[in-house]
Amino acid sequence: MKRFTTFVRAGLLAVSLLATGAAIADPIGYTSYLVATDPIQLGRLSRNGVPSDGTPNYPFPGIINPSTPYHYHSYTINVGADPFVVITFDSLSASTFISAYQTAYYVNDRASTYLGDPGTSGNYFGTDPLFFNFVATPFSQVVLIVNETSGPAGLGLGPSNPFTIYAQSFSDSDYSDYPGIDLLVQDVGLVIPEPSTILLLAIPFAAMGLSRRRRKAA
Amino acid sequence: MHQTFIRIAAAATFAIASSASWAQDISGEALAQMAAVSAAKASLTATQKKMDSKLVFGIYKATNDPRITAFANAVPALSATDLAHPSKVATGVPATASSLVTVRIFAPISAALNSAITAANGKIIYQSTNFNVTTAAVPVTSVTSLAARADVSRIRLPAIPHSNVGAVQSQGYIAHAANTVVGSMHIDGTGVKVGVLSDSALPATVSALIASGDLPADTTVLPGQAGPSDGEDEGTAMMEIVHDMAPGAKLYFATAFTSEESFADNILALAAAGCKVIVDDVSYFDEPAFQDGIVAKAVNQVTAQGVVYFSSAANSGSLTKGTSGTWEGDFHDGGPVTGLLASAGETGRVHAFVAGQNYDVLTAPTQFVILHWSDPVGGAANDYDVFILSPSGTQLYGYSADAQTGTGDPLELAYAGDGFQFPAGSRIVVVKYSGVARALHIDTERGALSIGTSGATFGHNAGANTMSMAATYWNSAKRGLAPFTGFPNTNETFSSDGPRKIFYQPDGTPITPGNFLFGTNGGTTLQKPDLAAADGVVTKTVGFNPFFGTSAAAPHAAAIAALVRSARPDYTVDQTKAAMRNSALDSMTAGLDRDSGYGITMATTAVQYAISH
Repeated sequence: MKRFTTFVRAGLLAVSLLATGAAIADPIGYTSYLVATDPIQLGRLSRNGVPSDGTPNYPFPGIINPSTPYHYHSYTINVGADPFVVITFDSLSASTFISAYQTAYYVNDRASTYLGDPGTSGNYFGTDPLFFNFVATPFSQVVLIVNETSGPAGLGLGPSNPFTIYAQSFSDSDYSDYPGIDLLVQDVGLVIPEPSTILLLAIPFAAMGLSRRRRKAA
Repeated sequence: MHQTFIRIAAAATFAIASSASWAQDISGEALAQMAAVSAAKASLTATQKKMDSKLVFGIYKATNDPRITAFANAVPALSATDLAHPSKVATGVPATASSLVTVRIFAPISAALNSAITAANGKIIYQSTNFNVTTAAVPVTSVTSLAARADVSRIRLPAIPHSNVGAVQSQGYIAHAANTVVGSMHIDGTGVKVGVLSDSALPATVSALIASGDLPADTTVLPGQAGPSDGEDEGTAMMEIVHDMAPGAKLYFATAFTSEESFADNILALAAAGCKVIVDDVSYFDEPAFQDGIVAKAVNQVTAQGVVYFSSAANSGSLTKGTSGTWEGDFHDGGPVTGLLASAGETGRVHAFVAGQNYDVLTAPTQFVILHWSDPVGGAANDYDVFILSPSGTQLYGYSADAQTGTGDPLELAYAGDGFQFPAGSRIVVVKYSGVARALHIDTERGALSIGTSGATFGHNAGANTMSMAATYWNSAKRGLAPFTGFPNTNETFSSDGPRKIFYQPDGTPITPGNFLFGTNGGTTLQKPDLAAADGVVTKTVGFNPFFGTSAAAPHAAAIAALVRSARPDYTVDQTKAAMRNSALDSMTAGLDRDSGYGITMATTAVQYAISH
């Protein structure tokens, strides 16, 4: 049902202005988990405990354990006119971590396109999803990287360490155009079938529905 | 791309599906007014069509034009320009036929245009050659003639600026739907002074936050009351939240950390400074559990002066969430003191927490174990002691065994020492050294107990006149940034629960003379916490991103009270509280409950309630 959330959102918007917002539909989440066949990078971002707050040019937290291999996976969101992005990362695991990069992710130069991260792993108090904010270039692609944090121990891998990513964008840090725009999180490894093989009515949902990687509806 | 496609299709579908029933829900009078609007719109000239309809009809209203008689009440008045502050959009002064009104004229900048504005007795405020827009104060009766110029493509009203509440904005602004109140209803707390008490708001931090826009320029710290120089600036984080939610409110701060007496004095000082909403996030360990102490008495005093007072309920857990670090109930005789305590010379009767078990067990470590009982403050005649033993009960880890002989306070505070904690597994033993059975309250200050009860919040945090605030994470429903909806928004696991039993009036007289026990329904029970509000929000104060706890929840609620009082300056304390309580979103347990009280306070419904009641 989540893939239909955006479909109903516009219709409910008028109602929400009168009510308390109860009619605002949920953003579309993307649930997945890391696997042992994911790419490997050396070193991981330092977790400084502070979520990026959307301040432009947020300082890069640095890389620790530069010789340790960590699995990671890439996702993308397409930012439109609203550049202020709020990422929610729902994960109980203390061994997964998410960060965001403008346009592209350079494993050997992560600071160059770094936008932000939540500063920590695992939901606050075991229940409250993590979050972080950043300002992206309008009409651009942002890459979200989820990496494990335990290195060779692989504690962040597998279906026992699922995470769900939500992305919302707004015109500014005051959320002036709330509800803003929900951004679809897409798996970089997704293979888009040829148009001739897709029913025309299903075209709007192809990008989110036909993953060939492990994926489940949020 | 596909997302946009879906949006448009959905909007059209919604419009088609709902229009059939739409008209049936509108009264005949309203339909007639709407018809009149349509007719007036259809009669606009080509020149008028270059102007905002709000500007056209606003001019009609200012000049008493009969074309809008049928729907004049629905036409907002234009704001007359304040020449002392010509760029100010909302002056609060309705324009008349003789007023100037500030407009934006879209035309290439030229001498001819400037001459025309001047000739019309207008005043140019600002011109942008980059965008070819002139902001000018123009007589109401001259706007249309300017619009008629061939070089003018449009004339519009200035956009009402969003109050720039700084580099970061609390998510509570959306979660509590304050954006609707501030952005759409244009009620922002103007006219209300909000006082904040916490540990500190140091000058350098306040200055930096003012510079970044996260605090208003006129933020006032009472002289000498910024707090300890090594403070954490939690006060600035709280003020940031109030400013995010009610950007028009004026903020004051005074520390609550000098002493309990200073805390009480500063509550009075903030009220004397004109604060009509005051909020704190401080608890003193020795505040009485069953009677008002000096801080609660100060709250009572300012409440009588017209102040709505908010406080954090504390973060000591709840029975519902399985995190209770509180035990509250009547003393039950578990037999004479034996074992290690008897060997040490202790006499008296041991309290039985449950039948057959004369101790409770810490399941999370803590630095403090505090025992209160239902004797009057300054007149405790029954002597109770508390001991902390090892898990096997064979080693004494800590104790508090003061003598209460009729003039002391009903309080024993066992302290593990600076940098130390009583470990998980420790046993808590309560002994009635002498006297009679009384109601007991054990507080482990964010520890946890194997045998826990409700009733965590106490002291002024749970005072009769305090709006006691529980906490729910801004994204507790895991919907992303969105308004709260109620039951999906459960309390934080650490948010202190109620209710709060009291046995004495503030002056120490018994509420139910001779009856000081739960079991015989002594005293009275206060519904605490009162409400819940957001925590886990962004602030710019170092160390408070994110800002968790009932300390963060309380200023969100205080800000909503400021919005209510801004909308209804005539409202009393009780009316303000009623507006917030009666409009809250039910959460946790259906109806009034010990965890979230009336539920989650919401800015839009609270203000709407106030406007309509």
